[in-house]
Amino acid sequence: MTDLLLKINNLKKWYGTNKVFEDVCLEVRPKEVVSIIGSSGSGKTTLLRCIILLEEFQGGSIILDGKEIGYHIVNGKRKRHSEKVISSQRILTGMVFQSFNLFPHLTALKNVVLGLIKVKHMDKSEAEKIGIKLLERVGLGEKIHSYPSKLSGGQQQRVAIARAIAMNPKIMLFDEVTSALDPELIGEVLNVIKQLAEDGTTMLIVTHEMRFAYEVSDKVVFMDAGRIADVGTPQEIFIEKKLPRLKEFLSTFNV
Amino acid sequence: MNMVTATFFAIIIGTTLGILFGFILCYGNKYVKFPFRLYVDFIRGIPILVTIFSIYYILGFLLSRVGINLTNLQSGIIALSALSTAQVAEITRGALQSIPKGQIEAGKTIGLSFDKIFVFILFPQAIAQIIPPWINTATEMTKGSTLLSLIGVPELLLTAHQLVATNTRALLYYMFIGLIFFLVNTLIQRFGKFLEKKASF
Repeated sequence: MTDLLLKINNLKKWYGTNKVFEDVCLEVRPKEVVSIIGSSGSGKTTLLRCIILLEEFQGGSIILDGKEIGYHIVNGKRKRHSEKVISSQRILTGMVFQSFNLFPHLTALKNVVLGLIKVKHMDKSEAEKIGIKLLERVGLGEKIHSYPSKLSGGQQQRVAIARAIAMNPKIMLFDEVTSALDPELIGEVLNVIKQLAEDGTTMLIVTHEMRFAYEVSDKVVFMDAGRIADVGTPQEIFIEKKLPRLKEFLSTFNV
Repeated sequence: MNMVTATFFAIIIGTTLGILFGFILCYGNKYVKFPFRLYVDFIRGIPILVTIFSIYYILGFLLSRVGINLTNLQSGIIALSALSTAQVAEITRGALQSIPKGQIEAGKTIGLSFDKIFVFILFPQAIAQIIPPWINTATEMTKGSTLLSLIGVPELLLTAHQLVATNTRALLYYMFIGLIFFLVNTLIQRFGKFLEKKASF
């Protein structure tokens, strides 16, 4: 059990009377790369948002690095932690969004170091040293003082990746990070993620890039209609594809 | 000088309270919001002249009952501040609400608490949007200050009236007054442009 970094047990999520997903179970080992595929509306993004505690969930538990996050039991009742505790649990996880969400009033470097300075209370020069190193690592050493509006979508997304890994999270979540990009910019972002995977970063990737998922993943999860319909190696999911629903889904892509 | 004093205080008080009210209007729950919403809509909905008279007669009367006597200028400052507070509140609320939700979420994911998200992410972005309409409000205050003559604050326009009454060069005096207002408002606009540049990104 101790070799699991993330364990999700019977996660249940409702929006009012609207069920998003139910009975979602998932295990991620350290340094493992897990991709989540599935048609839109199947609950992939919401699952990631639950893991980083941007969403509340109505049942089940998330164990991250051996500790349950988000909720605790008070007098026999399940209660969400205070915002302060939630904040401290959130930084164990890094997230990159589909729409980048860079801070437009800050330069690339300032975007990356904000959390280090204001949350980890690092001093400025130390934080900037880390920030510059990370921006170089994502290939943006030349752009450290550029504002987001002066960067292409691909560059912005790479800054967003640097911003997330700056906090040194245990696990990285990627939420359709190339969906908002022009086709010619997708490659540079995927390459950065691949590099992170090779460096041993644990990741959970929601994606529609099937070839990428096939190449980079140790494990692929197929979500369908609010539950996990299939889990397997890339070989099992993309080549053997025994499940009829999975076959149907994949046939809409050219893989 | 009274015009400058009244305008100055109206802008300072209005900006401070207005930003606070705007924050509440954007993030408060609906019960907290209600009295502020009511205040802002009410003050913005009635002519400034009515506000000036109401403060002068009603508030002035009420306060005098508890032993506080407002000078005419103080009543005027309160009235102008009431309006500028409402204006700035509405401007601030709009600016804060126009910031995409993803900004708050991105802040949360790097572990920032809401107060830090507000200080380092939301407010710096909002201020860039607040400044241009804020300049408008400020210039409205200088122009609104002329109405204070109606409650006996000897401001520029009233002084001009009095001079005209003892003189025949009406046009000259009024043009001179116009020029002073123009200069003051140009100064405010310059200052606003300077702030705008500082806050832009």
